Amino acid sequence: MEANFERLTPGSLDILTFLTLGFSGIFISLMCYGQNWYLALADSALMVLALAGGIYLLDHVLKYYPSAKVKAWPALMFSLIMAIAMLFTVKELLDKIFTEEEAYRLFVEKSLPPRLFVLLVCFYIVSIFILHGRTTANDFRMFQKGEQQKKLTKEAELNYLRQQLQPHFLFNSLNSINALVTVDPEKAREMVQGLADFFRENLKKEPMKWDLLENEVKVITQYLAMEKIRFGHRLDFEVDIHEEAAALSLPPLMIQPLVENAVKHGLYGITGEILIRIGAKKEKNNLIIEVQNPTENSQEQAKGTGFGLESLNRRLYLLFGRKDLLSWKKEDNLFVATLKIPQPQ
Amino acid sequence: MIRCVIIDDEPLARELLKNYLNGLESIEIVGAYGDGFEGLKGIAEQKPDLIFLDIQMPKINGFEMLELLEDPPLVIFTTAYDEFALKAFEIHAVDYLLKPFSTDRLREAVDRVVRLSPAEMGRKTRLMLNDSFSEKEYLQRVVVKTGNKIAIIPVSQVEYIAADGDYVKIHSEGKGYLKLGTLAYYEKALDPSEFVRIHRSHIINLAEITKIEAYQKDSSVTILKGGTKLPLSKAGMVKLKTVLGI
Repeated sequence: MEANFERLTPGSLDILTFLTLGFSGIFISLMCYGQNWYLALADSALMVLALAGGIYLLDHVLKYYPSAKVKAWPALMFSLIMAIAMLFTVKELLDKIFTEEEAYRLFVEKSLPPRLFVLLVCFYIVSIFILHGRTTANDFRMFQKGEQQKKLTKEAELNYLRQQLQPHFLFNSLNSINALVTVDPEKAREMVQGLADFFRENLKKEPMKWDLLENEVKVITQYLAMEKIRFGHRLDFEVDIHEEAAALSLPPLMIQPLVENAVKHGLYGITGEILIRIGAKKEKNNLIIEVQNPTENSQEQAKGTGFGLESLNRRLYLLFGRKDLLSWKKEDNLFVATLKIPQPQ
Repeated sequence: MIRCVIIDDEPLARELLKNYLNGLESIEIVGAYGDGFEGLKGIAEQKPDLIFLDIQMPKINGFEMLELLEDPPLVIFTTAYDEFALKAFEIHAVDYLLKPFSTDRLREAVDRVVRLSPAEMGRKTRLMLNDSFSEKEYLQRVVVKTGNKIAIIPVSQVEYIAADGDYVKIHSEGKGYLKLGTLAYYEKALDPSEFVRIHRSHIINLAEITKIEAYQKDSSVTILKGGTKLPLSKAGMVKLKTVLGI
């Protein structure tokens, strides 16, 4: 970010050229007025130092000036103050250096108005540049932020689509059906039906349209029933929805990644049988959903919360602007993920 | 006759594969197992020529199981995930079957095994001895064998790794575990902000360093929390300094 700001301000070579030009201009003018070369040299050197110092200070002061639409007035005001201050310093210094040169001091006094104007014009131009440059950098930053937001939203949409389609689940289920066709045709049929229902429900869901918890749980139960066929006796599940929670609603496909995560870590984290528990209750004005699975190495599950939970967190942030709605903890040998959905007032 | 075992955690997937393979004359099933641990035992007992191996399995995955075999048989992966195909290719798996696959596709894979020349049979599955590491994420854990047991060590508990011929010795909580592999592999596979190769034959966990002592003119030693002293080469010193920001 900072680099972009710097890119939009002039480099040191630009400043050096500017100052050299200024120095030459003042020196030549003084020589034309018939001054001694060493007086002209000292004078123009001091003037250019005043110019450089002024620009340096303006740059630092204007950085903190809030960006305004109209830049002419603040630029003029700051330039005038700076020009007067600098010219006053130059005059004091010249007076001190050239105490002997009465004629020159008189000349300096007489030439104050044109000097003031030269400094004022230079400072004004620089101020305008600084103020505009900063606005451009700000715009650029705002633009970048907008792009990032867009990217985040697009990513969330994509993840949503993936959540709807569940490619791994689909392919593994097809493989199971393939096996069941000969071993247990009745069960194969059951699974084809379950798969069709699951995908029909999932594809029907629109990302922004809230749905009743009841309906969400119905789809999840279907999902788990099919996973149960796949993994046989190793997998079991329990669903416990408090009555007052069933009628609450939530954005679609929020619980599914949690359940998927629980199944994955439960099944791959231990070799024995696993029980997945899903619970929902109402607390104040929130719908609280808890999904738990047994685990041996919850550290790993917390660390590699993985793609699913991460993208869920991002979706929650995009929807609610909060990052505290999803949390997880380990209790004994259980991994518990808790989802909080604030209900509309 | 090719003797094969099936290792897959889904009973139905095992049944299906058995069913398919029964229709092929050139192959004989000598075992079917539900996870990597059972699989290792089965392989030791049966000494098969070929494994049909699932990747996502309880506790240790298919790749980790292979790492524990001294002399792994030929491997055909069977999985619904296509993101491991590259890694499977790197370890010279014979084939990579995406579930669900057809009998024709399976026959093609088995034919590939049948057609292998003796020399290719001899090469068998190359372990992750090579320096390649293609995964997007750094290694989170290492799986090692200790006697008859298998230990899963989170990388945070690895103190240092020392080269030992064709093996590496992974030191964790005061114990050392031998494992086939090279330091070059671990140098790439471990997060470089946590692990640094300080010497031709050592990689250390930065969290374990307590002190660095100048030893002689051109060499220094690193002292670990447990008191172990490891040599620090000039190049290692440069790397350490960059990572630690000193």
